[in-house]
Amino acid sequence: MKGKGTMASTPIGRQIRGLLTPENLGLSALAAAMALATVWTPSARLDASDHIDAPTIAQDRASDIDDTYAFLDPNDNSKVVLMMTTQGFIVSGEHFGMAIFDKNVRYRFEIENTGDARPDLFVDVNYEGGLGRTDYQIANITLPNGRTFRATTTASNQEAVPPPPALFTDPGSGAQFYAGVADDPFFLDDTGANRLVGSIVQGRPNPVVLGERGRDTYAGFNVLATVVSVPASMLRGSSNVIGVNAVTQRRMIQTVTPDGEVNGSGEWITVDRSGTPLVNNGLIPPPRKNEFNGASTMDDANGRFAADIIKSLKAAGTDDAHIAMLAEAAVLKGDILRLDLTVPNRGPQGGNNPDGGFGKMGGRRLVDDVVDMIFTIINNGRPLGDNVNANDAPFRNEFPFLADPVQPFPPGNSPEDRTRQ
Amino acid sequence: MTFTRTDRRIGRLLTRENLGLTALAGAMALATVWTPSARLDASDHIDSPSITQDRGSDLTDTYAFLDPNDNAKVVLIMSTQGFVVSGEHFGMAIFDHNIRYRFEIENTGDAQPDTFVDVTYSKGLGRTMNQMATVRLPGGAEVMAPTTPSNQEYTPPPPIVTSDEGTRVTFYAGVADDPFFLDDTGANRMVGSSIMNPGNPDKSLLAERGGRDTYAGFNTLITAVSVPADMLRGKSNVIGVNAVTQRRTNQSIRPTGEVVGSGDWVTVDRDGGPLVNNGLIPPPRKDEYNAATTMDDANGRFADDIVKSLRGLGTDDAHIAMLAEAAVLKGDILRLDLTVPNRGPQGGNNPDGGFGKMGGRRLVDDVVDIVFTIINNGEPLGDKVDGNEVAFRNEFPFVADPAQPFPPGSGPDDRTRQ
Repeated sequence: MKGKGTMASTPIGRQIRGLLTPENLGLSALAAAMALATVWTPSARLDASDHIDAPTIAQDRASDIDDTYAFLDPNDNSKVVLMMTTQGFIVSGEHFGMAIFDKNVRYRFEIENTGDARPDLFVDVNYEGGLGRTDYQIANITLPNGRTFRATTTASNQEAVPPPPALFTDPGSGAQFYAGVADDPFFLDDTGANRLVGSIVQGRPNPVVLGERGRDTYAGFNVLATVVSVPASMLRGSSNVIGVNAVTQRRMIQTVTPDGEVNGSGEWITVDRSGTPLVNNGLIPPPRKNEFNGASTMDDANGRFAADIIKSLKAAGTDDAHIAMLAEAAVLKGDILRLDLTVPNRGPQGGNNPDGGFGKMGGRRLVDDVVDMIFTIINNGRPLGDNVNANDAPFRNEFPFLADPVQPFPPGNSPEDRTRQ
Repeated sequence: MTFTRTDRRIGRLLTRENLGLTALAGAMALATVWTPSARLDASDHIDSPSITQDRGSDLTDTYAFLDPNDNAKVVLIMSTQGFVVSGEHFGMAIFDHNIRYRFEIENTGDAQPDTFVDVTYSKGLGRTMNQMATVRLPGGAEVMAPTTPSNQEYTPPPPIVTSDEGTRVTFYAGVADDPFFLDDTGANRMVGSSIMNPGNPDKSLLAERGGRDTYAGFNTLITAVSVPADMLRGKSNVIGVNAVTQRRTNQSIRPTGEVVGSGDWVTVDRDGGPLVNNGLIPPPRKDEYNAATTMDDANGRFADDIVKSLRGLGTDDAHIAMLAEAAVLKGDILRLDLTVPNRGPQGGNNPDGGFGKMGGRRLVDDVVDIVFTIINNGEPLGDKVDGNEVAFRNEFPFVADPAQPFPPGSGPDDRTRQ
């Protein structure tokens, strides 16, 4: 999403027009698609992150990727920070039970560095054991060059003040690692978004409901964060642009043993994925959400979900030019978050310079209001937002940049905490 | 829980043979080095490492009580998937079609389930779409009933209650306010102190926060079935209820992202008495406890751990025996005497009924304070959270409406109490 309105005349613009041919749409004509839009029921949920985005994920919260972030370290632009959040809606009073990374899940960053939809490199993290309470876990990190190292997670507690993040730097690679429970960095009025989409489903799009409340659905809740900082040179390919897609994977067969453990066997298979902060939760209809999560970025580029995405956007009133912009960002070359390693990132809270971050090919930073940016494109360039413009707590200025987790609140039974349901 | 013949049985439980220890003194010595569960939660929310990852199976609480409007009926309620957030109803409020939601009913006075009430759900997509439940009753009759879909408005849809004339069974399933109430932070902190000082926990920590209800403002998925008491009664008037969630042994993830189960049904989570699972089993055995049976309980499989946890909390032998009688000797099962009357609003609130009076467990019963008081050797001990944050219904399904999205504004004016 690096340009606005100039794409049609570029080579990429021609490529998008190619996508919009009847053949690629699987429809007799674009006109047919537009006619269908009046009767088709789009996703009844438009969430610019990926929290609990499919029926399978509703049951398998361990695999639930909430958001993916990728940005240059604002304190050293030669490093790339990769972050995925999982297990949204962790409640402070339940840290002891909820804050456990799943030993059966592979937390994977797929890195693309040749300009297509195919992952070229991987940064993999898996965790051992995990009993919760005040116990930490051991993480095994595998870098693209095959190097592995071990690090501990940051254990949670039940006190008013959380423990400081346990940071680990691998001397051999310069990679830095953090994992633990942290404030959910995402911010959105998801009720407003759901209502907007509901109005679209009913054929009477009402953009007013999006910003009517301005309540951050994710405020006051924590997530499990897996964060790796690696030298940019480790990810760079034939150009300066890399792509990042986070996936959670399980072995194909999950066996519940008589002693209550779960063991995996068979091939690794993707259970959830999150590239750009849009497609999965936003534009895929409910019956195909599981399938989208299980699919690959190559499937995206092959147009497997293109018709659904276009139908959802048409129902929202998005015009062809802006559909093309979104297709370029999240379909033609896969649903992948792109980061140009030459776009500077500066400032506090993980970087906040206006010429960097999401929409400027600077990946996605914690402070970026991706919701408003995407809704504005969907709204054909006219500003549209949810009136939630920042996180409920400021981010750190240094790695891992995330804010401390919400902790149990002080004495008193008034509703004085940070949640904003 | 009176000191009668059962005491002598408990005395036998506490012998060295049953404890698997060389002597009771040995157990007490061990208590000084053993680390009890770092969590004492009188419900069952997110109670083991496997359950942390499998929220579909997470049984949060089990209730069983006579319908206060008709004591000839037994109301069975299990809540699953705790901490459903109102803004996420469309994604979270889906019953798992791979799970069998089962009420095990015991009616012969032992630890062995004798009959079952099973509920399964059709595949769900969430949003405003409902699911179809199949309720299988003792004797094999089946009732089909729709769930109540959720919405994203300020007012929830009314509960869809299905009554089957032939069986006289009534059913409800849907997202509802979590009926449980506890300051879990207080409980966790008190237990933490029992780890630091075994036998001498700092009991002031339990209510130190003045009563913040960890579960306020959050919803759960409720499965509620009302059946004629005659359908469950055995040779005596006392029945036992244990709720379990079960999956097929092998859960296969398909390339389409669907999960398909195969093999035998295996229990993933269970919840009988509102105490043992989350409260008294040490973390390394919590998964095993969930998968075990009530017969395993009675066979003493976890007796050592439970006795050790209680000793760490300073509970004396007499009160350990009371708790063993309630939740170990005849299995971790919730008992309901069908002759104990239940009356009053909100699912019943007469003081001579409910939990602790062999009246099962009602929504209003402050099981936390009752259990902590026994643990505290009969000295009153509570968390100062003495009721739910919203009132319950006076009629089936008795649970309160779900928390819904709050009105405009950025102030923290919702109901949560973290």
